[in-house]
Amino acid sequence: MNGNMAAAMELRCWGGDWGLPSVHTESLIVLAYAKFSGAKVTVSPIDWTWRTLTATVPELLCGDSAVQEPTQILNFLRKQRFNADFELTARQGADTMAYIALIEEKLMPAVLHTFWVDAENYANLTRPWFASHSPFPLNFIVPSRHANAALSRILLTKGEAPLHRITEVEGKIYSDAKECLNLLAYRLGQANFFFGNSPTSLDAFVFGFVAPLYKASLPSSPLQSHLKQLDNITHFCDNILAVYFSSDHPSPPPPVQESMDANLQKLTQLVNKESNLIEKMDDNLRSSPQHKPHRPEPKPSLASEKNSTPA
Amino acid sequence: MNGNMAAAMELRCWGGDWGLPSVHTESLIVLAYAKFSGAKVTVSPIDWTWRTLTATVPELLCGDSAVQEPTQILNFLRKQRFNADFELTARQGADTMAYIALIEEKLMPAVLHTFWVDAENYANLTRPWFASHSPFPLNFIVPSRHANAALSRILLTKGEAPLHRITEVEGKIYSDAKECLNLLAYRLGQANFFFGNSPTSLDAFVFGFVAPLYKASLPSSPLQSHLKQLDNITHFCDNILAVYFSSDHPNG
Repeated sequence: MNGNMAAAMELRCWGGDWGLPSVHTESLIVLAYAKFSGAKVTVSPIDWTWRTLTATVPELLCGDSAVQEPTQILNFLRKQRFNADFELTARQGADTMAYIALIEEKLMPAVLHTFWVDAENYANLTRPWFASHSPFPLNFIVPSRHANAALSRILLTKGEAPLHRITEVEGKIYSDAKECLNLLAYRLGQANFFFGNSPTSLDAFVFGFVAPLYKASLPSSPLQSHLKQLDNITHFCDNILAVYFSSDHPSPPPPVQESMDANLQKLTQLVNKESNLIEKMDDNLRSSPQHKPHRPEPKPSLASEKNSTPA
Repeated sequence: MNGNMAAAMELRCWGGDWGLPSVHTESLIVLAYAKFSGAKVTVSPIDWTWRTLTATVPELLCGDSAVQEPTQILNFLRKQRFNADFELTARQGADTMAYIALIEEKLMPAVLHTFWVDAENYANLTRPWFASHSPFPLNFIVPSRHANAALSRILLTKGEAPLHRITEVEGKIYSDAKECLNLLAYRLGQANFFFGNSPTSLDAFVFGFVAPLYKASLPSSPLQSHLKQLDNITHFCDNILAVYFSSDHPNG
């Protein structure tokens, strides 16, 4: 059990919509990782507060420490022994870093462009959303600040010089992004998560970037259409939402450390069940068809309950 | 056999030294891939010609086409049926792209810094080499152009704004690079190449970035010292040099 004697942790982030716990990629990454690793964090949305202008989100507050940026926050959580990656081999850890680099290089620019630079999406979805989630008079300032930051980031990293026009790079960043989504789909295959049956930080990163692109009501997005064709990736997102963020299941599955013992228990129960089932089947064969077992739990001696005629 | 009915291919690139066929990362990537895929290219070093100023290298000339940038050149070679990656699964292809992205994001800035920004290395190794391999009077211009381009590239991609000072990013880019080398070492393990027994484009990219860092006589480089501790990576480079670039085995 993760005995957490440390101070309680508070996470400041953007609020949710469109079925997501947060509309903001970096916040989503941290929220997902916290669920995966079993970290108990109090989520404090910055919506409708002055922090929409002053704060850098996501931000994790724990005692006197304030940690920003998803990678730093995940490192901090791991040091607090909330580690969703501890079962990974060194090679899988290397793959994790490589795929995160791929996402940041090839997918992030197009996602930023889709939400913050594309005129139709920005005017009809992004700006209204962020404006309506910021307090007056910040609603006039907050969206354009984010949009300018996004545009600068795309041009700096993709434009090869700050002087290139955005139209020159648009074609390339979207084809890179489609390729990246395809590569993620190849890598995921038919599995539930990228490394086996329990989610890790790579799953958190992919979810953070892909889920908003998947769920937002974007008026114009060929990239979203491309994504929706990748069934395994969309299923991946829906699965995480259903298991970890559904209001019907407020307590998600226990994190991996606890689940190892639970798995052993489950395995033992399963073996017992199987052997009892075999006994049951055996008895059913001997009994007449209309006599059903009275109770689901197997009894040590079923024959006494049934009106059976030994063969 | 790759029946090549197309025009002969010529590759312009920087020349070699320190036991390497080229000292220039991008040129090395293409040279290695050409060997791996069996492409017959005529290598034309631009050293001591005016192309040291005018040309973008590496550059592949084939008939009327001129292709630049390693990724584009590798794509072109594959279309000509010189494909070192054809046995890879879709998942291994995805891994290739991911690791190339990792190298470009985490290793390239520090390699650029080591050769072109670090004052001691630049003054004692890099600038003299490129100056002595450029014709007069370009020897005064070529090295500094490369150095400025390298500094800009590092600041643009790592500095979060062109206004940050290089000293603020240095610590981060070197720790990222050491981490990246470790990750490559984990990924390679004890194998000869990254995907089985024959080299692919990922091997070409890793070789292109790592070999100069490994072989150059850098006066001051903690990164090189770190690299030399990763035995499987250094062995990987030496193996490629011995098998594909040794003068005893001109055909690889």
